[in-house]
Amino acid sequence: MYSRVEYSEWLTLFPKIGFVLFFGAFAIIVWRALRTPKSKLSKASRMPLSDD
Amino acid sequence: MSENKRLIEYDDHTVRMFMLASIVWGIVGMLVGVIIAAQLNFHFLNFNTEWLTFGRLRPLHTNAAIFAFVGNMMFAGVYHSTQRLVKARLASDFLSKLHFWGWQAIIVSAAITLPLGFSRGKEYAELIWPINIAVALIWVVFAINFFWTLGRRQEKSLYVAIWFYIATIVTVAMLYIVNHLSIPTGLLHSYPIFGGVQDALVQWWYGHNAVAFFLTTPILGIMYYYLPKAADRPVYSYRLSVVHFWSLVFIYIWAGPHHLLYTALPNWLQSLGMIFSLMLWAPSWGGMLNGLLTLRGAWDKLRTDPVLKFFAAGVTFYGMATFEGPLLSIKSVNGLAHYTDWVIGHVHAGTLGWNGFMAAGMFYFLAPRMWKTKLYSVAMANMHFWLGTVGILLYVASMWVSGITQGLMLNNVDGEGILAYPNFLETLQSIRPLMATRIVGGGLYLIGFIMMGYNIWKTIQSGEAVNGAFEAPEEDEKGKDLGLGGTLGRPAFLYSAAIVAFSCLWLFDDGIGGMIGMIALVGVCLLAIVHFQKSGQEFADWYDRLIQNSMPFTILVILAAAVGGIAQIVPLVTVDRDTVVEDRMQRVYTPLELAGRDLYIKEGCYNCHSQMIRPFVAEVKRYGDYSRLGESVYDHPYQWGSRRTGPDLARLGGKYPNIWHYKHMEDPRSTSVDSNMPNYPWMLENETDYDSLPSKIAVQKTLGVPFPDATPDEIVAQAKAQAETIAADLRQNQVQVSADKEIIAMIAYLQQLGKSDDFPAQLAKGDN
Repeated sequence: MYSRVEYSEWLTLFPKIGFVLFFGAFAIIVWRALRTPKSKLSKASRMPLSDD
Repeated sequence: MSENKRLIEYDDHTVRMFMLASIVWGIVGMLVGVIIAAQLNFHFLNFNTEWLTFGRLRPLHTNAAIFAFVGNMMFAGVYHSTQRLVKARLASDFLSKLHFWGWQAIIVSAAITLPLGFSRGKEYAELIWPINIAVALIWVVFAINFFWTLGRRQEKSLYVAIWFYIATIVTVAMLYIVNHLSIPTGLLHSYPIFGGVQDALVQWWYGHNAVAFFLTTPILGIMYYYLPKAADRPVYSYRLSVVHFWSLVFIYIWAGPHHLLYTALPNWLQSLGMIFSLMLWAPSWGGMLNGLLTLRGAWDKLRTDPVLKFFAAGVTFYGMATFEGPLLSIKSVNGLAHYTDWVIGHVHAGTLGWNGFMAAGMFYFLAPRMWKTKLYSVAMANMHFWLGTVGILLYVASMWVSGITQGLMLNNVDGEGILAYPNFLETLQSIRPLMATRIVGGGLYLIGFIMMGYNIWKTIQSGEAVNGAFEAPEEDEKGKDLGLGGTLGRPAFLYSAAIVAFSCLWLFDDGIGGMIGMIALVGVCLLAIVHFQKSGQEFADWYDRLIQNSMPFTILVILAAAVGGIAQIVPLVTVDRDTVVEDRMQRVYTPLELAGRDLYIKEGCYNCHSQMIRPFVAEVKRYGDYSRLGESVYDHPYQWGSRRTGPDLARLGGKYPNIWHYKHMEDPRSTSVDSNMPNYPWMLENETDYDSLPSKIAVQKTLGVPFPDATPDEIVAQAKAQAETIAADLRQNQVQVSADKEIIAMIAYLQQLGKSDDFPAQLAKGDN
């Protein structure tokens, strides 16, 4: 296989920043989801069943 | 009704209208799909007719399937479920009507303009600029109606389905507007503002996320609402749905570049697209499992209930398609699968299996309720299910085998670089039986869908339209207003932002900044722990109030979705494209070549031919040297393509004489035995549109393409002079054709493909 020119080295920063952003957001959301009380989750999950 | 309550009637008329429109347009879109599948195997089905050729009908099929079928289905589901989840009637009857009729007018406009060849030349974004504006305006109408309804809600908390709808509305608006930025050259034609690699990236940022936010997130919202209702069970894990939502919204938007692996797109973007695609496995399967496990204890109902049957199969196909997507994004797999039918099979597992079956389940659920009667025939619905399932399996399996077969044949070279199958048509012949199987599979699916239309029509005839209603308290009970300041100024948000910022500083600065970042990160984490220990529920309070306040929630969704696009697109569109070209620079088209290029786009040639040679030995041996970044820098729009039903054309110029192209366009089988390409006899009759060239070139110059200065008369004269040269050459080969015919302009363009100038290495940046 032929190789391509990697023309802008500094742009490789963007994937790294992307990963940090993602894992930061992911950790926060997971932590938040795990911390939510069961009563609230149960109430929320039943919303479609109590709308008619 | 108690004295403290009032009866509010839902607007289900709009729901019914969208549902019926979806069924009608679904039949149309799928019928066109079966026709074009047949055209691929039997070229004579193009009937030598301009508006019936594959290149023009394929955009009609894709646009009808996405925007007409799924679009109308989505609007029906969103409007029906939202009213019930937030306990409020749709905010405005006028906006609902405007939304419905405006959307249908857009679809009709598309159904007329696409076969007539009015196209922007970008997949799933072919509609011309006046229709683009109409789409944007009607989408805004939808958004206003939706958010206004949320503003009037009686239910404080927003159920997870509403989150998915919010993500759909804001993200589709962002994607659609950016990818359709164009400068008109006339009433029916425009050029996109991005060109070459920039246009490619923006296109697939849009194209991939059209799948994500038009075909996936709204349907997931529909799944989270209708599946629990149909199973009469709460969603399996609300926790999982929270993680599913945010992960999907954040990750999906980054994955677009996986459509451009091994192209001239910079490597860092390709890697980014691949890695984020692989990361999508987790939330996608989390969502699928959440859907399927919602059926726990209700599996026995699948035997008798067609609604659950369709939902269970739809969610399963979602799992299958979202497993396959990341798989195809792995570079080594993509090297084989890209440009082949494997991708077509993958897409149809999603649209037929996920979208189509979820739509069917929802329609079978809604019809008896919207018309207050029983489903006309459960047996017919079950028959629909099995016809659809067998149809999908035939379709998808045949396309998998076809894609892998053709990919292996095209990439087959021996140790000395000799192609095992040098004639492209050999590989086409090998997949013809599989293409025929696809017609059968698609046909079965269509028959099942028509049966559903009949079943629902009979159901409607046996009942009467009724609107749902609910008793609302006189005093509205609304969530406490959080506001934008209250959202972003909260400790939970500030701590999160600080952690991300200091993490970046620590990771990316090698000097003192990195040290400061690390210390600050540890400090902020400790501070946050202490803070939340002392204040107890503050983070939870912030989040709970956030999901009771739709606008701040929406802004956070926009931020999550926008980050990926900004990080990918901004660096690429801000580079100096005149120097970042690798080692070759595209030659500026002559006026006649530009006219020919517009014909290439008009006929939809990009639907079957790529213009991007990947850096594989097999491709370089077959098509010529691999494509460079600079070789499409002036292409507005880019034409790299996504499928090779025919061979790549990036270096077609000069490969054959003019007479070969003339005969090939007139009857492809006269030069290429067993070709499945349509005849283009009208190009020998229609005249080239010279008059529009000055305005087109003026727009190209505005976009930065360095056309030489010339008056309108000079532009037309240049075009005619070049046309006369080609016509004279054809006359020498015993073909009498006027220089003003479209075939001449097309030949001029095809003969130019791959012509570039070497770019001085010292001027190319980073040419290491």
